[in-house]
Amino acid sequence: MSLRILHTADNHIGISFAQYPDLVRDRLLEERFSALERLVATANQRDAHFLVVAGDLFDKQTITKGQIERAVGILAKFQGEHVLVLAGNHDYHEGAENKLWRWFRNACEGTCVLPLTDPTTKDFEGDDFRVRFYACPCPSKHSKEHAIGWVADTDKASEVIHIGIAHGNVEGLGLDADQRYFNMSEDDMRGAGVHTWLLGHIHVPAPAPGTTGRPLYFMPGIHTPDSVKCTHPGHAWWIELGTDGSCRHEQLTSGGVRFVRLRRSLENAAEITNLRVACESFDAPNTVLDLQLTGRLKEEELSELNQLLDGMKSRFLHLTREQDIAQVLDAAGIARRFPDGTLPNKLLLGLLADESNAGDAHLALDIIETLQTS
Amino acid sequence: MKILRIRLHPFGGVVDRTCDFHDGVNVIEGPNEFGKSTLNNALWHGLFTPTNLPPVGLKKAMGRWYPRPGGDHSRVTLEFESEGQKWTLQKTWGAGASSIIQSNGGAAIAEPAKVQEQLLALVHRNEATWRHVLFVGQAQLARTMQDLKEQSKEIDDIQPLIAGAAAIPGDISPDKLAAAIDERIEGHFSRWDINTGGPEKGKGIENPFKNGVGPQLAAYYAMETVRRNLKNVSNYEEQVDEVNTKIIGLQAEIEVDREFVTTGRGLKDGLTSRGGFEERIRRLDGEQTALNAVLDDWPGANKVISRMKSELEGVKTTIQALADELKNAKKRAEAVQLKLAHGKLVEARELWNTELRRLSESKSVSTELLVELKRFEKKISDLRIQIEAQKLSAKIESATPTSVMIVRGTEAPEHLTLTAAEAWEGQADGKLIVELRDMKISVESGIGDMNALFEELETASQRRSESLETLGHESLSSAEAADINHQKYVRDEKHKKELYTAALLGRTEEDWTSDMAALEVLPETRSVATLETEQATAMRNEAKLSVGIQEERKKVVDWTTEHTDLNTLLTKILAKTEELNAAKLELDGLPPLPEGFGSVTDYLAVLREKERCQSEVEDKLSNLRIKKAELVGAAPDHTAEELSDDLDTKEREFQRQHAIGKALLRIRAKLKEVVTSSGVGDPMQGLASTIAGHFKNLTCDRYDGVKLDGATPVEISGPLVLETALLSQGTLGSLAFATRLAFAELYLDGMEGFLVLDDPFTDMDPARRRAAAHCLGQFAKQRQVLFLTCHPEHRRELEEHAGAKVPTINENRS
Repeated sequence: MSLRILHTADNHIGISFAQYPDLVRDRLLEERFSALERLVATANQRDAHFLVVAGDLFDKQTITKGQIERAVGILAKFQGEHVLVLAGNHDYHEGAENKLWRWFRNACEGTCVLPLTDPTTKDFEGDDFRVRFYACPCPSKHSKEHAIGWVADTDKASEVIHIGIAHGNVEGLGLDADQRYFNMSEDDMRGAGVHTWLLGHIHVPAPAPGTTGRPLYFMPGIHTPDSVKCTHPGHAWWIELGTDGSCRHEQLTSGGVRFVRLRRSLENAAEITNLRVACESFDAPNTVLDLQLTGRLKEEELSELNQLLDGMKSRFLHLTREQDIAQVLDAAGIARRFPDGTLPNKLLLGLLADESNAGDAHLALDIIETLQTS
Repeated sequence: MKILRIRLHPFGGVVDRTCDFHDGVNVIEGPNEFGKSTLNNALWHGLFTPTNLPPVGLKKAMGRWYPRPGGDHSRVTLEFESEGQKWTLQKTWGAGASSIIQSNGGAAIAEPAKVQEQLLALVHRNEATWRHVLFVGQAQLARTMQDLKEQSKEIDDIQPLIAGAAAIPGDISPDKLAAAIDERIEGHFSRWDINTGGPEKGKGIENPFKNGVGPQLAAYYAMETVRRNLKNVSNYEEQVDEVNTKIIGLQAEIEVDREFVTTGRGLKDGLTSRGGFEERIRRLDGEQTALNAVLDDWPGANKVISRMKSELEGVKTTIQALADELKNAKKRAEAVQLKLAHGKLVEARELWNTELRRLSESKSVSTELLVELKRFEKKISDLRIQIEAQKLSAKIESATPTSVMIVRGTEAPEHLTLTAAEAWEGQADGKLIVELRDMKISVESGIGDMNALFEELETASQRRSESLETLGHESLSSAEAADINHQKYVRDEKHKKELYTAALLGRTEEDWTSDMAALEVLPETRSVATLETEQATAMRNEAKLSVGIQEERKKVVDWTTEHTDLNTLLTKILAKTEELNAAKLELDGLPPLPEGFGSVTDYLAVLREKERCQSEVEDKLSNLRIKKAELVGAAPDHTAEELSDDLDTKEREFQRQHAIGKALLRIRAKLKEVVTSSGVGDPMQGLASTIAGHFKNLTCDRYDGVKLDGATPVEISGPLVLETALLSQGTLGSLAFATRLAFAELYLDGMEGFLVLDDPFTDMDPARRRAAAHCLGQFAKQRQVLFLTCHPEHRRELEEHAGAKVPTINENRS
């Protein structure tokens, strides 16, 4: 018999996606909720006791009341014991006057959703488990100190499963060079004396796939991608903890969109073909594709690339591209355009000789062609 | 290169056609849709279009040449001669694409890129030269004519013509290109200071340029704007963090005393009442105690007064006795000092007496005698110096042992023993006397009166001896020492006498003797200090008893006034006790004082202080919450994370623009370098004279020269002098043809090649055409010409005047 938990974090509802066109933005905003709905449905389907949101359910303090109520409405459909929602560093809780959490509490009234906004313990007892959660919320966006210190000083009864819930960077897992994000070390967590930690903050899941036993901590990663920095499809953890200390965990995939940044250096037609194949492998209607293309292509290859990209634009949820591809201008190319002895011929061949600045010839060609067509 | 045969199989609308060419001028004449253009393109693509193009490029280049409908490929086979060798080339585009080239007896090359490489080596000139110079279409001739028309108007643009450019599509004059690059640079760096690497005049995003902002600066502004926004947002977030930290801290402060204050507020009224009751009980208790004390004291008050009076008398007696003893004690204290002074007087007197005795035993030295003695001593010394100054040297010898006496100067006589072996030699001061038995030899210095000196010395010595005898001293030094001692005794006696006089302290010896005798009869006493202490204590007792007596008397008066009598007092005490008990009963009903506090007052003071502190903290908290609300209200639209991503993008764009700017500067530098070295290897050198030569032939010597403006042909000369803009269409056509012919001639100078002309005589009248045909015939003696026309008369004229032949064309229908 075991305690069943669905663990998510960093849902960032309310993230603005301001750089996208309205339709795309609406879809991405909607996806934050949709992915949450899918997680609640999964938790219900698997008969979870608890659904834990380990911080940053919301992206910012200025989240609207409507968005809060909608998120709570989704979480409230959980059919287990409780949804435990920790204040993270984006939706931090500095005190009772915090508007976000005031609205959240109001919205939670009469539901199974419990906000965890103060450092405290929460005890629950089921038919076959007794569990104590140690909530370690964030009181601000940044902090050099983590919020879990008090847990070590708390008495821990045997026969109870002790689970810490916290939000912040984990040394060695995330990049927090300035230690501004509630940085925790594994020793800190181990010293707290709980069975495991349910964490949030880092958008990359941990432990690594294939890990067995009872991990020191779980980091679900973002539940559905929010930018090209997220290279996974969006995850959550399914965790089963036995009173005997056993643990079984499974990574769930919850995201419905993907953000993909492809950085390619294109030098020939084969690489354009590879790019096309790579792009065709994506679920285009649900993919925000950001192409960063560099390299040098022949005129006809460049034309082919542009045709390819133009064709893809309508298929993808959104496609952006930063294209820094110089048209290959080799001696043959110059010979095709400019008769021997002409000034463009001589200038371009002269520029071409400077291999360290091969793009110069192309730029000069652009000037020449502009001049000729004017 | 000379084209021998071309086969189109298929190509465009041609299923399979072979065309065999001749040397010289080949004229292909036929109406439109005959296939001239197809042949022309087949030749072109055969030479210059690779078969391995990517799909899009292939479709663009060759798509129109696939047979329709449904054709999926086109193919050309070309046989040509180059550098004495015969070559066969076959290219297939589209389905089954392939390229193959092979020379007679040589290995076949089938890799498309290598085939193209081989072809380019065989055609010598680059593809563009062939396109623009050697495949002369009607459009190109028209363009040349247009250029020539405009020559006299645009002097700047004519320079390239002579340099071999303007009439050739694709070329640009250096000035024009330089201007275009300058314009691009100016535009790119508009409002950007290349030297400082920032906006001109340092106008950053706080004070940006509104107009004329180039891409470099625009990218910079965009980047810096995002950077500033990011900084602002980061600052904003830090501010929020700071406010939150303070709020949390203050809330924690409030929390520390929250329970105390909350509890305290509930207890406040009860404790305030308790304080009043406690104070009242304290007061009543005090009053009752005081009344009880009166009750205790009042009955024995008169006895107390009597006892105190008796004590007072005793104290007064004691004070008098102490005063008497103190008087004698002070006298005795004074006697100690007197005895000490007297002791000093006796000691001084004894010392004086000792000095008197010592002086009396000392003999004084007459001052006059001592002076005279010193004078004799000096005189004797002076005389001796004079005598000693006159040295005599003597030698005394004797043949036999002889004893003699000698006197040297003032010295004592000496006895000498002389032998034959040992003479005497010596010196004497002023005088030497030698006595031998009866003989006396006296020798004196011959300087001055030596005898007088000796006598004077004798006299002075005699007087000195007399004086010393008188004084009783053996020498002057002894006399002087005795005098010094005597003078010291005199001084010592005088000093001791002065000390003695001082010890008398102005009194006489008799006075001292009398006082010392009186001291012997004073009685024994305790010390002055002891007596004075006892006296002070006794006097304080005296005062205390006096005051005590007065106070007791006053108390009795007061008690009587206040309480009348003891019975009344007793009644008051009973009432007070009753009142006190009632107050204690009420106090027991009030809340107790919390632990750790001595009194309600203390507790309430602490409570007030904590309430005050909490109120202050609440005020601060309230202000912070207002500030927080303001901050939240002014929250930026984007988070730092979003702006950080945006900044990455903007920085990349700025770097891209920066790279473009640098590239533009390099291009400008390279252009200058290229222009500076222009002329080297320029195939168009001699263009003007070549044009003029062809033009002269084309106009049957009517025009024989070209007038140059600098290097610019703006006029042609002959019977008339005309600006190029004023030439007739026919003449202009001839000039254009001459120009194109000159280009071909110069480009193919010294190398194999052919010229393709597409209906170049359209604008010429028959006379000009004949001249042109003749001219072309001359040109074709060196190089093959493929002449395409839809005009039968043009074909005939070429056959007649240029020796043109019609290629053999076969349609293969198998």
